[in-house]
Amino acid sequence: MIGPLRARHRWMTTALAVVVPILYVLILSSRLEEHDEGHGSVAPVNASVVEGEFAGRAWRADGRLVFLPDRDPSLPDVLLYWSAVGPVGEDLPANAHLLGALDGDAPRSLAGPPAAGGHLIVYSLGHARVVGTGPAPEEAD
Amino acid sequence: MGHAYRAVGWNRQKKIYDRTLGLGLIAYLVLFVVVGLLRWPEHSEETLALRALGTGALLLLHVILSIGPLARLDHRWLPLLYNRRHLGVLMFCLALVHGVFATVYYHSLTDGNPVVDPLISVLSANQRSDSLAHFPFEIFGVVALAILFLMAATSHDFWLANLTAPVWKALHMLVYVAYASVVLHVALGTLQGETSPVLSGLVGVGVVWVLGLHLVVGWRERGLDRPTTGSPSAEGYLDVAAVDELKDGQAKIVTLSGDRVAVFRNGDEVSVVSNACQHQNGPLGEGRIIDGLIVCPWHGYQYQPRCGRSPEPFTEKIPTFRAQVRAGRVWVHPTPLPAGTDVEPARIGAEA
Repeated sequence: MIGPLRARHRWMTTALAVVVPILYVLILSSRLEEHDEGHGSVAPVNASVVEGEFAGRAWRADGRLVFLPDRDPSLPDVLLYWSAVGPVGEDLPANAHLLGALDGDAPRSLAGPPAAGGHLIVYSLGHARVVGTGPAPEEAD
Repeated sequence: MGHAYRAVGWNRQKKIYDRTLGLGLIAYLVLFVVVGLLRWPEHSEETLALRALGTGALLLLHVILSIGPLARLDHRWLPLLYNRRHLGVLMFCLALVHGVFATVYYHSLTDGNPVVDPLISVLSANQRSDSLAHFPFEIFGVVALAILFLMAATSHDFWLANLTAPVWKALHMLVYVAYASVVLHVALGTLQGETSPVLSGLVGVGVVWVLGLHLVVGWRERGLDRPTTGSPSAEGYLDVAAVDELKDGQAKIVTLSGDRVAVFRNGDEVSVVSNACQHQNGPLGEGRIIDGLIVCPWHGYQYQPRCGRSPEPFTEKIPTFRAQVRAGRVWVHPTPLPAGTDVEPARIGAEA
């Protein structure tokens, strides 16, 4: 008796044919919305300036850290770190704290640094070297 | 375990199938990385290799999910179905290497990350569950990989025989959950950083193709599941077809007692058996009688029309049905007989 199995197969593929395309479109639309919002983002005047190959501006908002790249330098696998000390040449300091991944020229809201002061370090995992650095922003009063 | 393990029988067709598959896959991976390095020199070889493995697995999954419905629409696709499980195992291996490589590359090869188990890091590094666009895509990759592992591990005939085809098929139907997880993994992962619409469009076309194909074939086949109606004879037989409808060596598929049965004509004899092959529940009624034996169109399993048993030394057997030919019509009793029960075929031209 495989009739029930066939019926289950039919209902399963029907449900997926409805749910998956809807989720797919929703996910892609939310990405576009976030990108659009990003292009309109303006860094506050007191934002920290990160300089280097991957330059941008960073500021604190609601306990989080917002990073706005100046442009997309097409570097692979770019991560943003916080460290109490600055980088040595192109290497990450041993105790650098990962804040999150950057995404082209889109602004990213990441977890805030674990302590006041310190440095922001942009690191390309693909190239295994530091590609930007600057002072970590202070929490706004 | 009621059935002993038997190693895969490597016949010529399987060797050709697997060789073509292996060479095609190697060519794809090499081409992807080489063209990628030339087109996007800023990307590392590791990143391109990861994407080659991921896209390779995704493409293969689309091919695997297309073979079934395509073979239902046109029998010329059946040769691809013959060794589909090898495709599935290869696709799982690609996905596994992609997953392991990504875990090692992103979660254990940087001095800057705290020293945590890479597997814990994969599942905890991304905590944006409050955002649809940035929802942790890794979780969906892990779910898909777990399902694909289960399927690959039970893909051998040993498990098919011991679990029985219906249970095995129910388990392997999880492939649709895996497919949905893979689509979400891709949409929430790599497509989030992709500004070109080409890749998003291609994945979208793939989703519409696979699910659309299943919808079309599934709803088209609903007609076959409509039960045979009409007044039963005094002995309980149902009129299922005119003798002229039956082509020699082929079958008409009808639904009796809630399941499909195959009404075969073999010369001037009519025999009726279950439509589901014992091996993988392939549609026997879409096969033919060759050398006096019903041959399953999927993997060539053979059954004797009158008793539903495979020829010696094979032991497969399927239910049979009693049939009569009266006044140019074929009548079948809807109650299936135990698998392997010998039934005298109904004879055309000998009716009362």
